[in-house]
Amino acid sequence: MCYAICAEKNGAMTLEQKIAILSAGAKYDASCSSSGSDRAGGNGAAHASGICHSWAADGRCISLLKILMANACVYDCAYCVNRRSNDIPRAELTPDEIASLTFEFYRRNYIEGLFLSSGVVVSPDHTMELMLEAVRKLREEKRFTGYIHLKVIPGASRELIDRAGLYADRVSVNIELPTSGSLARLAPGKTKEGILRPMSRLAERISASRDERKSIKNAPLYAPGGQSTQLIIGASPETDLQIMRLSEALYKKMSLKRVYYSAFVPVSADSRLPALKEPPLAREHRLYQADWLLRFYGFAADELLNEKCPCLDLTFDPKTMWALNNLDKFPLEVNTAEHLELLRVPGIGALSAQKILRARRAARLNLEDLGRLGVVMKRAVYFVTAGGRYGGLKKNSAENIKTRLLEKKEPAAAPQPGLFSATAQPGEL
Amino acid sequence: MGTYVYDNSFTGLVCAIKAAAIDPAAEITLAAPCQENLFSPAVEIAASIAECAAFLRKLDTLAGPGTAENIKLCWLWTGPEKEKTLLTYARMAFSKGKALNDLLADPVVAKVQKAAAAVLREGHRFKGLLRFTELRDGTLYARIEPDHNVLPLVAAHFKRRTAASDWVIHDAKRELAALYFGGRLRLAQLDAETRPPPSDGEPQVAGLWRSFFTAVAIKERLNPRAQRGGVPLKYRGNMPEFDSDI
Repeated sequence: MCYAICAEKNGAMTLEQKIAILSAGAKYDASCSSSGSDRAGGNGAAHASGICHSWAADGRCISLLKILMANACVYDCAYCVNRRSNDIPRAELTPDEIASLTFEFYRRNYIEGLFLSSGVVVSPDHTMELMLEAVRKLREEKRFTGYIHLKVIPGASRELIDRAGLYADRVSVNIELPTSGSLARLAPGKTKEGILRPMSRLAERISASRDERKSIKNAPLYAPGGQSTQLIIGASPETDLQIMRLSEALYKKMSLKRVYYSAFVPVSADSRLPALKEPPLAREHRLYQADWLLRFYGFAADELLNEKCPCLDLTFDPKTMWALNNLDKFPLEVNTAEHLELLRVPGIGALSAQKILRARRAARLNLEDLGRLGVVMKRAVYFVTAGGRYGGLKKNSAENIKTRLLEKKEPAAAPQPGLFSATAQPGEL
Repeated sequence: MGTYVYDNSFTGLVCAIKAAAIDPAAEITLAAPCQENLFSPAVEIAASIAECAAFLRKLDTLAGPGTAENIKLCWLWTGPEKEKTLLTYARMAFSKGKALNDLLADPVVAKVQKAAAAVLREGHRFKGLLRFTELRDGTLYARIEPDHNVLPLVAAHFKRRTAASDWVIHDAKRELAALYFGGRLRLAQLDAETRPPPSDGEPQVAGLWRSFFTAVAIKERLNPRAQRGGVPLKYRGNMPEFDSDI
């Protein structure tokens, strides 16, 4: 009923107002990446490494037109701004409006493509059909070959879910709450199985399509940028250990490309929610760092956290904490250490580890060289030797190192963009 | 010993480096302010495309693939002592051979690689930050003012991305433009004052974009420092979402 009333009001709204409402409704989705796909031949071309086009006032990169088809919803999830019981203006865009808006923005290089999500209008199938129609128009009528990230609505029929990957570069189903207990409490109407079913179906189709394209070159693309999901941080009581174990399982079992973490922004005074003054941004940042350690640095969740100490430290980054808890493995000689060992040194990143391997083939490295190779010596100095020389502390204990690191801690600088700044942002890749 | 003067083209520079590489005391200067030095008479170098290509191939053979690419990227870099650095780098290709590009701790090699990375980084940045406006005849026009001469890199990207429209990308700082008409790309001079008027529908599309840009930010997470890290103030003048006049 509410939906009918809102649809009536909808007619009087300008396109500008609708965009404002529907992108404000989509903004809590952390995913912004436009990477992992290389498409061309029509209007536009997806770029494998992803491209950031702008940065919003909250410092998050804008790569896609992130928008909802409609912000009305039949569900009443406590954490969600679009929940049925929330008294906010409702709006809806037509598939044609979505397609032309994306096309015109893309042409002017405002965006890399479209991120289309939606509140559940009438039913999951009805919503999914509207969304599929928008991206079909974009691909077939506008011959759009830019990037499309399409949300899959849990509960939609298998046939509709299967079609999503035919148009989209990346597909995603948001888990949002890490355990079924929290789902039952905060998202009545949603179940863990209901979310995992479309996810594993998509994983199946994506991997089948990859195999097929190995033997048949012209076989159709199916979500070549893979699948991602999102977890809300701080709306429910799960520990970082539970979250990292879940992410680890998702990367291994569902072959997910990315798990995004979204610090919970209190959008209602619901008594089922914790009373947060502000979103737990520091915790979100640490989770992204730990996630990076899982995917690119060969760490396992259980190495970073354990039952005794299930939360990531907010003062020191997870790699530094791991190193401080494993001081017996250090200092490491940079001229002889293995690649995986180098990756575990605080202050040595994936790129500087590569550079060390290259540079030490040409000449033996000393401590002064390391800075030029991009190693952050402020942190690494306590954990490495070069040519047998050590520049750290005489009495190397975890406490002493912590004290020194805190002394040297300057006000956190803006993150350094990497060679291709897109991939260095937490929201990318 | 001598000063080698080139015509401010990439081909000319490579030919000058080639001539100077065998002369241990040589310097390379630009052609424009060609001042006679009493003690080291200037040698003017003619740019030869064939000679340039052959020398670049030779450097790649001597010091491994990527050497010529580094020189090409460094050429687009804006910074002090560019010619001198590239000359030393080329000489080191002869003395160090295949080890050259692994000498990451050598100041000259590090400078060349940092410069090349800076050019690539800014080039990649502009693939995102560049904004087209539609002109009355449907041509797309973009104005950029980059630190380095990234126009060739950026133009190559848009040749693939925006192949179906005609477009102009105008580096107002260097008064250069990449012109893409009817599927053909060429570089031309274009003075900084040129600002072609947009089509009538343009303000509306830019307005829709601004309304999206404002709405998508989460107010509880305002972070102007991170925003400046992504879009430094120096680039914002040519981006409609930062245009506060409208």
